Amino acid sequence: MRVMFILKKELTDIVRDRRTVIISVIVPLLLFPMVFFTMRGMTGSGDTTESFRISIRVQGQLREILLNDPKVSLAEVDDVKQGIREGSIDAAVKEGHDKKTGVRLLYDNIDRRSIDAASHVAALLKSMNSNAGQIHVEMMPMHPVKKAGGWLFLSTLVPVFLFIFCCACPLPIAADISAGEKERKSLEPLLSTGTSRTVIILGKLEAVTIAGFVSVTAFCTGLLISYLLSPSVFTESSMDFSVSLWSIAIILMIALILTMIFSAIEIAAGVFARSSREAQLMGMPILVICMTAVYMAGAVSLKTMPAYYPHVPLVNIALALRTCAMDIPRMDIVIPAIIWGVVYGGILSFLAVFLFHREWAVYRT
Amino acid sequence: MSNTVLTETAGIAVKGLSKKFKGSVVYAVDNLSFVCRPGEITGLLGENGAGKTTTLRMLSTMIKPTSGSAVICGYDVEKHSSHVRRTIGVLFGGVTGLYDRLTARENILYFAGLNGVSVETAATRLEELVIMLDMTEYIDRRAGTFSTGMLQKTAIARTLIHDPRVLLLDEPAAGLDMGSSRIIYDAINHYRNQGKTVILSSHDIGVASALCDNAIILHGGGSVAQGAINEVIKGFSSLEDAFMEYTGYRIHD
Repeated sequence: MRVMFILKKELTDIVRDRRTVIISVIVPLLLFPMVFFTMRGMTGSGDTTESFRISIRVQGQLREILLNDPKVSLAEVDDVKQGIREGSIDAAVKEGHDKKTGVRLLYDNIDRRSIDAASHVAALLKSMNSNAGQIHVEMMPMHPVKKAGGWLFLSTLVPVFLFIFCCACPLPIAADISAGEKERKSLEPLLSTGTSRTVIILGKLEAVTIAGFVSVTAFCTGLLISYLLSPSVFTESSMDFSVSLWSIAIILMIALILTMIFSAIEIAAGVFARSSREAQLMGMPILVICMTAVYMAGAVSLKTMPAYYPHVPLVNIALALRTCAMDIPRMDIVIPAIIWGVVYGGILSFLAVFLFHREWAVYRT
Repeated sequence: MSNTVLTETAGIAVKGLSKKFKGSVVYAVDNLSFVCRPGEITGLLGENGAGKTTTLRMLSTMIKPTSGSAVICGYDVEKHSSHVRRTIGVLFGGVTGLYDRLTARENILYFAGLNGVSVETAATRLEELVIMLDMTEYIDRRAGTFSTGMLQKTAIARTLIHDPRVLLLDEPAAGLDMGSSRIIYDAINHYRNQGKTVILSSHDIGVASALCDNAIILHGGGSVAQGAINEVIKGFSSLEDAFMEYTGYRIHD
């Protein structure tokens, strides 16, 4: 009976807290439609060419059938391997060793668009089997299958986990170190000292970034140990996960910048929030935005993505992580991502400092 | 207390200080003017909501005045807030705001560092404060295990560690037993005798009449009486009677 009494009081308390209702109900209601609207717009602009650019080096009926397919457009290059590598074509159809019945399908097995193109052409050729006799399609991936599987797996896993860790790990620390000061009533003594508010908040930001990064590193190490102990937990078959030290160093640098970005926004939220609980609640939409950025970076082909992608907040960082996880750190993506990351971190740190100087934010009632 | 103009470098001068919070229709502090001189304790007296804490918050640069000015040791609270903070020691009423997971020593030394006190000076001053406030037994214990008295003494030591010229004390002995209260009042007296400027905000009229040289009685955000204690109680049998009269409570025979 007393439990129900307490439950009723707590529920009343929560429902009467307008901000909690806004953050936990209104924001998710609006956020997801906005996120999907944005995603649809960006994905649409990223892959406007419906058809796959295929280099067709077969003659006769096969060539005619492929050219008649609305999703196939003819694209000729001198060197098909280089064309596929550079993204000027998605795949190439060549004559097989047995010229009468076979074709070879060359594609990049670490590029989503190239894989899709190869799948489409293979399906098309197989559907012809009944009309034109048996056609043997020899799939020719450009990278060793085991290695490509590992790279694709890592390029999906690394951005997802790093974004989750870099966002979630500093959250409770940031909430405690900022909004927690209000709860403990230690904020006013702190603000009455000779140290400026800017210094105080930057000190806190540093502490959260370091603690958050340590936590991120611990999570990643734990994940790696788990994989080494039991690879089958992650994949059905063991994959080749060779990533160079250079790529790992870039990943760690990006993780540090990402942790700084999230620490700054979480500290800013903590300064504005009245309690740790409210501060942590404010962190939830940030996680949704992160996952959206990771999804958008994963859905696009690195070869055909629009030129502005390396400048889209968070998406660029996810893209940079993707290239590093595939051990092909692309500096045209990594450098803008790092520069923009530092800029976002700076802007958000400034926001935290700005709020910490504002009476209406610090003494919110 | 006198309303004469202060020298540039001593005490507190407040002129027309007002504060109206956003969304509120009334002034929390309304056109307050007073002067506090070094070597004197000024009692800021008033019932709940009279404006005592808001006044102390403005003087300690926590919040900005809506209008008026306050100068502490020659520094304007708005224009030179960082200088003001280095000059003052503030004890906020009712709550000590200590870090539970730090020891009393760590709490105090943290604030010494924040106030720019060197490690050696802080260590020396801490030893003096530990003896003065009788904190030897628990100085190296975590604050999370402290009684109210221990917490309050630690908070006072934290307020005094950087040897501030001005002390702003809000209910320094709230919730304490007689022994602890006595130690704290003795410490305040000690600092008055050293020439510090002290503002003591309190509900306890008895304490105010025993400790303070001057009194400001606040009511509804404004000052209804102020001056030396003997001036304020002129015509009344005690400071308590004067307080009751000025704040609208009538004394019945």
